Amino acid sequence: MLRPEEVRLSRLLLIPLMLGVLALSACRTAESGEKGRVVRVRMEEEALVSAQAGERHALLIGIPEYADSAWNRLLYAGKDAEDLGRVLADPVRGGFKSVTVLARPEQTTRQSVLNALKALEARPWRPQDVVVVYVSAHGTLARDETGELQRYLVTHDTSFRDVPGTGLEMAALERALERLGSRRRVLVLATCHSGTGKSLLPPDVRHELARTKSAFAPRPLEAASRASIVLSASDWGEAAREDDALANDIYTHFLIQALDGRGDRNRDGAVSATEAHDWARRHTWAYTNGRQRPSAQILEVGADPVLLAGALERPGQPEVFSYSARLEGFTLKVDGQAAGELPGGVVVPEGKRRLELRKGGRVLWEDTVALEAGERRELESLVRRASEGPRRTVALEAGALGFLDARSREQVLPASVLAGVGLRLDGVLLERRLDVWVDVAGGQGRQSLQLELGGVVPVRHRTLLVGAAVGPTWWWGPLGLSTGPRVAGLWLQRSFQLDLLSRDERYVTVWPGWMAGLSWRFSPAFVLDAKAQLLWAYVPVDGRTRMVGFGGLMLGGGYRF
Amino acid sequence: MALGLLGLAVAGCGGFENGPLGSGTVRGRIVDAEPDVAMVSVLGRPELRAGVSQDGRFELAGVPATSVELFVVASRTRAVRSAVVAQGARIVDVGDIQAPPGAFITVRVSDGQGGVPSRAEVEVDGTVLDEIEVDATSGEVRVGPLPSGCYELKVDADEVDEVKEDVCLREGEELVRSVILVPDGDGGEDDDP
Repeated sequence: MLRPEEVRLSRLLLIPLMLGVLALSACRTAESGEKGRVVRVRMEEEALVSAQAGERHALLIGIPEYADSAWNRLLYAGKDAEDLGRVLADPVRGGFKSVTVLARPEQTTRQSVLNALKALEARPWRPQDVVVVYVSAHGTLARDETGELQRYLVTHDTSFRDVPGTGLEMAALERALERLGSRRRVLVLATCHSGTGKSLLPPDVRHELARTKSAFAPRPLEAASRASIVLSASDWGEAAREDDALANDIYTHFLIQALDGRGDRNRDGAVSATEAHDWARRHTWAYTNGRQRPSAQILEVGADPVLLAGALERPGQPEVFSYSARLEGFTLKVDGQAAGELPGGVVVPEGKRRLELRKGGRVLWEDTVALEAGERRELESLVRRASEGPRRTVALEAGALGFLDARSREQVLPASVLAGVGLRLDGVLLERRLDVWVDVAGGQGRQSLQLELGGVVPVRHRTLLVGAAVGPTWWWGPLGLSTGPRVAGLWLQRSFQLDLLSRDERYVTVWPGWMAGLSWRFSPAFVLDAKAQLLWAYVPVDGRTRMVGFGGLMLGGGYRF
Repeated sequence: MALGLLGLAVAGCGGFENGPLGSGTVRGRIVDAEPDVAMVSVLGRPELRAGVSQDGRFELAGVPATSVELFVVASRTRAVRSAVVAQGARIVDVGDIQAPPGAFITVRVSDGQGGVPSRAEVEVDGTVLDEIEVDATSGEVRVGPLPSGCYELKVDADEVDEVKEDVCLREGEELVRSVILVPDGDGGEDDDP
């Protein structure tokens, strides 16, 4: 039975989704590439209603019985599919328009599964329709006719001795899903290919893998699948497990549990695919004492919420999320308080919040982010924007430059107050290890020389400094320390307008030197800098050239872009 | 271009010269000056001297830009010393200078045996009063006017050791000082230790 969709989605969420259920495995990060941008989901009424006018359909495959006795019978694979189907079909919960469950032996042969996929494909799909494909079965690995190690779904009639000829290659399942017109596809895998739990490997493959220290040769499905969201009951290489006490596959048990409303983390009235997965993930992790880590891969950022149960009744609380393997194990702190672990989503109170990603004592990223109700932000895109983000800084600077020795300051030229502009280019040299600074500063002043013979002599002086430096920067959170060699061109002028002397004296040179700087990025766009420089030059005074040192300190405020 | 930059770094271009800032000019006016005898010099640097105009104005250039004392002779009978701080490459106007009556020293020179040494001369060290010849007949010379203060008196003659004596004079004082000049090589007395 179907009921009209009440769920409201952003028009920005018109993205393909697919759900499929398979066993224990795979969770390598797929390349999200250009899809990693921040997407604001705003609850605009008309657009949302229009966007939500999609139907929900599910194909649930549970394969408990196997004709070849080499495959262990799975106690709950069929029940997994049926239990999930019951929840999805329930108008109060899933509200799916159609739910097809394949669990009987004749329904779970290779051909029957392919036929079911064809039937699914034949349905007239609209982009906003939701399709969920779930698989609970044995998985295995075998070499195909070209000799490549492939992942196979073990169907009822799959022969242990001829997996390539009788199993259902995962690639075939992927291709079938890709052909669907829906853009909201979710694939749920309650299977694995690790050789343990719900997986059995042929002896030759097991022997080969036993000698392999690295990860499995075949790519995890998530790396190749074009389903928008791939949910896996276990991480790549881990076992997905059934549990007698739960009478289900563990992950599936908690996934179903989430759909009764408990998974509605942001309190918007609906349970999205990632909300359900996060619920199942956390409880599976706890239930198995950390031995089974369900994974998720979202290929289209912003695709979620793909609603699996309930309907959007109100804008939900703001959420930030990440399913990237890169951020796995990081703790998200909100306003200094631990709010959740990654991967997964975390509800954040509305307003400007200080977000911080930590692992151990290391802070990967921190920023102040303004969040509105109904908004979802992908953390990795925020982190990426921060790390790859502004690469240039233009700064207004002010400071002083003068001889290091007091005698020269008193008798040759007093220290000059300078104002100028600087440009910093982050990571432009040596594979982004070195930054480059370019700056121009000028200044003038009226001071007095203190001559041993001559007394106090008023002098007007001007300084123009053009410099460039290169060096690395080490960052500790918002604080950065930079240092490196510097070269500066300097033009100095001093003018005397005295009773008996009206004269301008100039000196221009290029100096080698050294620079050290401190930076404080107090916001993503703004930075405060303090730069010190030491320079050496030969300066002719009274016909004699002397080696003198110069020191300068510049303080500045910069804008990063 | 790299070589050019290197050259510029090593050699630079231009430079600074503090020499012209080492001296300045002092000017002023001597009240009631007798232009034919009035003059101004720097005490201790008698080569820095200048005469005065008819109205007593003077301008003394090249004065070391530091604290100096002007040795001012206003007339045949008046003289004064005036402290001034000269400034580098600038003109310092000391204004009007009133000179009080100066002091005179009458130096009597003898060889200790009743004779007068040949070509005896007197000098007040550091002033323009130098190479003042002693009268060969009387063996005396009157030196002045000298501003009040202390001076080193030097007396010399042919084939005698030079004699130096410190004298301190008050305003308008007339001082008589006898000096015996001993021939060279006889271990003649000398004020210097």
